[in-house]
Amino acid sequence: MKKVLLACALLASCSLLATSCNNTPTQGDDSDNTDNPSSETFDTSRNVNLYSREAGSGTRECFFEGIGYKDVAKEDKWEPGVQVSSPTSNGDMMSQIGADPYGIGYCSLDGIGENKSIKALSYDGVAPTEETVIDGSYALQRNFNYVIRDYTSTTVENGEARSQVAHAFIEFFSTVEGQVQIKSAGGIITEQATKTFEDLLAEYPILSGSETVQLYTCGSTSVEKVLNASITYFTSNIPNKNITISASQTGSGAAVTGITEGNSGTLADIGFLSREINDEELAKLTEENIHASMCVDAVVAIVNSKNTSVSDINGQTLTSIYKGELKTWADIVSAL
Amino acid sequence: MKEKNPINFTKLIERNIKNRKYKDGVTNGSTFLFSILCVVVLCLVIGYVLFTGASYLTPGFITSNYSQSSVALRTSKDFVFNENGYDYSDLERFDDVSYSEKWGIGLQYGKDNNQNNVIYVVEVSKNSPFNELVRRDDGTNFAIPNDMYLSYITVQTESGAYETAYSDDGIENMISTLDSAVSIYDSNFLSLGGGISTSLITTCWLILFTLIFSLPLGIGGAIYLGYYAKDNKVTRIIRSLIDMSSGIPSIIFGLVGAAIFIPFVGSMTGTTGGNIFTGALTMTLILLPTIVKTVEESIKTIPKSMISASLALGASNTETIFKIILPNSIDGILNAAILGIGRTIGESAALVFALGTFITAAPSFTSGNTTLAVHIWYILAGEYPAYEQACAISIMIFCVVVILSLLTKLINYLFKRKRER
Repeated sequence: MKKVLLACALLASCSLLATSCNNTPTQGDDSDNTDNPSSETFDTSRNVNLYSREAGSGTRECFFEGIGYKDVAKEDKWEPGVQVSSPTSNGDMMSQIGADPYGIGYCSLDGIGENKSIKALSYDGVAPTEETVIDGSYALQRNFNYVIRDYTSTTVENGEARSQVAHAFIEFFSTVEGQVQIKSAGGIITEQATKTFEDLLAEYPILSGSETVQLYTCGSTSVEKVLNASITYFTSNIPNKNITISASQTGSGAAVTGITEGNSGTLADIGFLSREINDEELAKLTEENIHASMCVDAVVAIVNSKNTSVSDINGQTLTSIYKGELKTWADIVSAL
Repeated sequence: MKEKNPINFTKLIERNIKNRKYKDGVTNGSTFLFSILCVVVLCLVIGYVLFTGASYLTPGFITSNYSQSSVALRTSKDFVFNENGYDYSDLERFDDVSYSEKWGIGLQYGKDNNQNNVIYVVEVSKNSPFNELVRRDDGTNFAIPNDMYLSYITVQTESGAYETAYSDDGIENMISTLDSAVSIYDSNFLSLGGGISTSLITTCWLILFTLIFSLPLGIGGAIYLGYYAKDNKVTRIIRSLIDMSSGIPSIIFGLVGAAIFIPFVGSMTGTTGGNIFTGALTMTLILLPTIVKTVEESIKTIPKSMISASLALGASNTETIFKIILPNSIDGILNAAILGIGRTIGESAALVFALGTFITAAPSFTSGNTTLAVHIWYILAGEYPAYEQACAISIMIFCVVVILSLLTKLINYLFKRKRER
């Protein structure tokens, strides 16, 4: 009796396993499409599920300012009754939208890559590609900016050397080699560099010395891919092997505070923002805090790849969606 | 009225038996149902982890570092491409390798640790200019490493313009770019990143130090409780405290580790922040109740007559402990050690505070590190959560835990057989 029951249990579990493996394992509690065996058809009468990055994200500011819904760009001032899930990173956003056929969200263009589970929407009829971003026809774009710590106002341990390396690293972004790193990580370059890595080494002798320097970066998470590729190349291929750069990215909001006040005690050397520096932040900076942009990126509205109802969208519609005025996908289709 | 009674009685019994059968059926059925449900859920969890992670658990994943390193190579500055061509007749020309006829190299797709397609240089002709590429940092000659993949190649064309072929764009594009090149300006070889070697080594070190700290303390406590302590109020309080402390959530131990051990170790060795020692001390706190309990149980199974005989023969307490008690409770000590190892491998919440979440290039005794369990947390908390790699690490942890529990069973079996003889 026991053996029979055990066998039954095993059989049942195996068959369950087999069926569960047919559905591609997805993360999150998505039950929308499992109760419906013919989930290939997209049901436009279903409600739209809204996704937005957390307050403080540069991607969020760029998106909502771009579509013209500035009330929620920095704070969670949603209209009453509007439910918004907030993934905390680009990857998180993509995996949540990839698991929710009726979701809509947005993420940075460089992250999308080969992701098959989501679909990038055109904006005002322009598809988000490198070309349309460079020629400016794709409107939802932003600069990746950096800001360097002021080493002169306070005494910094090893300050001169750190300042040299920080400036050299920033200049690396405008060399031929640096731009290749940016492009290989999905960033977009608008102006071709002529300066080479060798020029950089000649300009900053510390890169060829043997002094030990440790730099810290902070700020935007969207730049992480570009930054990691650049750090890998830069620190591996300068003759001075005692230079290390550690990146701890938490969000654009931490960029300026990180280099002026420090996050959790230690001051960072370079802060990165995936949006423009605002006036409040500019007030904190001195002349020694050099800031400029390093490359361009686009913010893209994304939906699940099963969503066949929309492929192009505009700012007005997106604003209505996030205000909760357009509740179902059928509403969106008729509004377009 | 009196005649009816016996009939009623048997009927009652019959009804009772029927009722009981029905009740038994329901209760038995529900236990079977629940146990089947448990098995199914367990199978689903293990199945998900296995199916998702198995293909990611490659030797490269285990042996490579989390951070990548790059070697950029270029042709030396006085290099001039020989227009008469080179003799590449020594190339073996495998079917599945694509060759650049101009430069005499063979390219092939491979996988990196994210299972993405990357390009490897698998064959270089001995006459190829690729043998004379120099490192960009110190200008020395460098043979193309076969454990690094080619992430992109920037060439200079005849007009002096730079042109880059990325590995994402495929081998054909790279070969056609190479065909238009007169010199190699920058070819970037990257090591496989995203591996777990450092976390694996750190986990081993953490286990070693945790056992070094916790076993003597735990065995000492167990000997006191099992041998010296009289059965009075104080002992009972100590026992119940030990029982209670095994129920404290580990994150509270992590808090204690961060608040007490980090400054303590820092003041002795000059380190700041968590390191392997603060992690091991925190784990010691977590393990002590288990170790004390397990070893004490095994001390209690030693026959009183043996201890009395030892004392009667004139052996001191110390001699009795080292010659009678410890050798006879070795099974308990081994069990405690194995339980401790299992707990250390699986612990994450406490170590986030006490050890750190930094995946470093090499294990370090003076700065933050990460164990395998915290590594899972780290890669899931990042900008691009890597569920597949997390599952691959989980498989490793599963395997270790299964092996350890089998080992406990084996030890118990061996010692039981030895005693029975």
